[in-house]
Amino acid sequence: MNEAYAPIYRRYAVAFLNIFYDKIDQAVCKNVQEASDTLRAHRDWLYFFELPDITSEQQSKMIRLLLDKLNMPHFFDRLLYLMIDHKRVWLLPETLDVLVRIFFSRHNLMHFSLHSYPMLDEKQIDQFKTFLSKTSGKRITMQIEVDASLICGIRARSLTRLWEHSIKKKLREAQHVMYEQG
Amino acid sequence: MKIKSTDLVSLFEDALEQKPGRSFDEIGIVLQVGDNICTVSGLENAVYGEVIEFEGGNKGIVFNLDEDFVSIFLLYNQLPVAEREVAKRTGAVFKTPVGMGLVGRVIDATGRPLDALGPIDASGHWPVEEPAPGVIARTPINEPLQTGQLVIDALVPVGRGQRELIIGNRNTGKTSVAVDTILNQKGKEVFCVYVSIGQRQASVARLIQRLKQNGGMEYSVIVNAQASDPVLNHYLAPYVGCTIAEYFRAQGYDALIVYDDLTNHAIAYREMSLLLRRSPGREAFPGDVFYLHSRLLERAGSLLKGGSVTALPIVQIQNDDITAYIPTNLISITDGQIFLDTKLFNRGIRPAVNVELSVSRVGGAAQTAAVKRMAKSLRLELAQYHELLDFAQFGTELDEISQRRLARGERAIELLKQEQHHPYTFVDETLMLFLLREDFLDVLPVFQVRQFAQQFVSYVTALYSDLYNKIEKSQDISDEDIKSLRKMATEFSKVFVSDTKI
Repeated sequence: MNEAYAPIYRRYAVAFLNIFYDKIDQAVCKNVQEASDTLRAHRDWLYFFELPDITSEQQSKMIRLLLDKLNMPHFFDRLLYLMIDHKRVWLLPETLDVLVRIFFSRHNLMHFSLHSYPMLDEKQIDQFKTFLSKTSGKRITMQIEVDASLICGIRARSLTRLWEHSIKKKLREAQHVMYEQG
Repeated sequence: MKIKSTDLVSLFEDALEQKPGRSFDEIGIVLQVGDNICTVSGLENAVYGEVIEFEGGNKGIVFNLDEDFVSIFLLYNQLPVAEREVAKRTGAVFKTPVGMGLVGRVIDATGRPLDALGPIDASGHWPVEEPAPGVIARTPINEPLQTGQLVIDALVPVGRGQRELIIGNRNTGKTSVAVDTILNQKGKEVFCVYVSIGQRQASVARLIQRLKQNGGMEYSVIVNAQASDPVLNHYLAPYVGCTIAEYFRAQGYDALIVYDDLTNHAIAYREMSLLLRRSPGREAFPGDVFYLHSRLLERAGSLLKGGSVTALPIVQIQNDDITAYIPTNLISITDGQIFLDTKLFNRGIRPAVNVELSVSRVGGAAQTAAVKRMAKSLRLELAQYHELLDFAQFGTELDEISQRRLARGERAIELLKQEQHHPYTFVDETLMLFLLREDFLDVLPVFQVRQFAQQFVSYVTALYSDLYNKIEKSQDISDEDIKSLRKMATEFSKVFVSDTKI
């Protein structure tokens, strides 16, 4: 993605949020974030909207299909229509990314994906959530996963913050030091 | 290998003992990678020049801060950086290892050893971008740095703390002049740093071999940014070398640093600036290319508290054009230049120093008194010779005085020729210049001049070592010494037998 387009997709995100801010909640945001990741991996889906001889009826159907596939509310079709009209639909994953970021920032929220090995129990998760909340000064939302590649430990990652204490990290650090010492 | 596995275990033990941090790492996500430049979103508080670590082990330096992303140049090209990879702030600027443990080592711009002699024994890590010493901290340059090359020490002397540019076309012996200067520092408590920027690896290997054979590595450090290294390493190498030289200066020693060459450095910076989409200026170089070199070379100098850094930057030109952008910048920044001429080189005059275009703006004050006294009229004589030579080429009939000047000029040029890796001491230089000044060479055929001078030096060293040592100690030559030398030269002329044939 060319970084020169950053101001453009930021504008789409801000404009959309200004109109539909009340209709978006945390659950929607979670779906939007997942949609962004999916679209990033399947950019070819968006090329269909750029075909020259596509009819408006076909376009509407395809938009509905896409939103259903991505579990996104149907009012997002307004954003899609606008971006298709401006021939910038290929910026959709980045736009959705920024949209989520702005929403979280306005709600003083921070979303973490928490990876751990072995699995944490409810009490440990609550303790960790409190720790993250205290450290960041924000309300925390979490997506929890078990990740055996950590060997042992916890890794919590948001878009701009990372907290990790795991064997995998220690090994990675040791490897870096070894590399730097030639 | 055993040492390495032991290190790994202790490293791992240390790591396990560390307690988890109470704060977050600030991270960003890689958006784009290519041409050793990486665009990262996030890293909201990153600062210009900050080192960024990637999870895959690579590192980079922030060069552009934008509203939504930062542009980072990567340090290693062997370690891949993937899209969506996590990049972490370190909160530190780029640092290089410094210390006496670096002496005799060959490192790259990131401070990694390249000589298979094990890890670097560094006494600390210093930031590579440091402000130059201010006017109060500096002292005037008044101590000579002997290059061991007669033509330079006599006509364009270099002082400790000076910045003397070595400029010339390709294959004119620029590196040889610098290497000979390094070799001449043996036993003089001057630490040398040779910075190679984008040179052919075969040439660098040959140079290291040459230094090793002549004992030059015992007091030298080589910083090598290979041609295949990322462009950031080419950009950093001179600053890394300068920081190492500054460390030696901080310990009260004199240091000599050779930048070979700053043309490649400017080209690397141009490449970086174009990749960062900064506006190109003259010859597509960015607007701040002057500052790139001025802030580097201003760090050289002699300090009041002791210690000095002498810089010998090298710049390559095309077709003798010294008016190109980078050469003119460097000429204006430095305290003089040694111009090496292709024509002279091809005529067998080596070192091929063009005396008319070479100048030392502060070196005169730092020249050894003895050499200064003996070389007083040499520049004028050479100028007259070159002027007359133009007339002689037209077939003009010349009077006796002019013919004598021509003959003397020829002998002077012959005397100034010098073989590679055979540096002279300043006393040798004084004795040779004495022979020229006192007309002892005028009676000899040109081809015998150098042999006569070299044998005379050996003669004085062997038979009149008292006088030799006296000049060496006082660094000056008195009228009485000159009188004695005249006697010795007359005596030697009678016994001199040349074994050279035309």
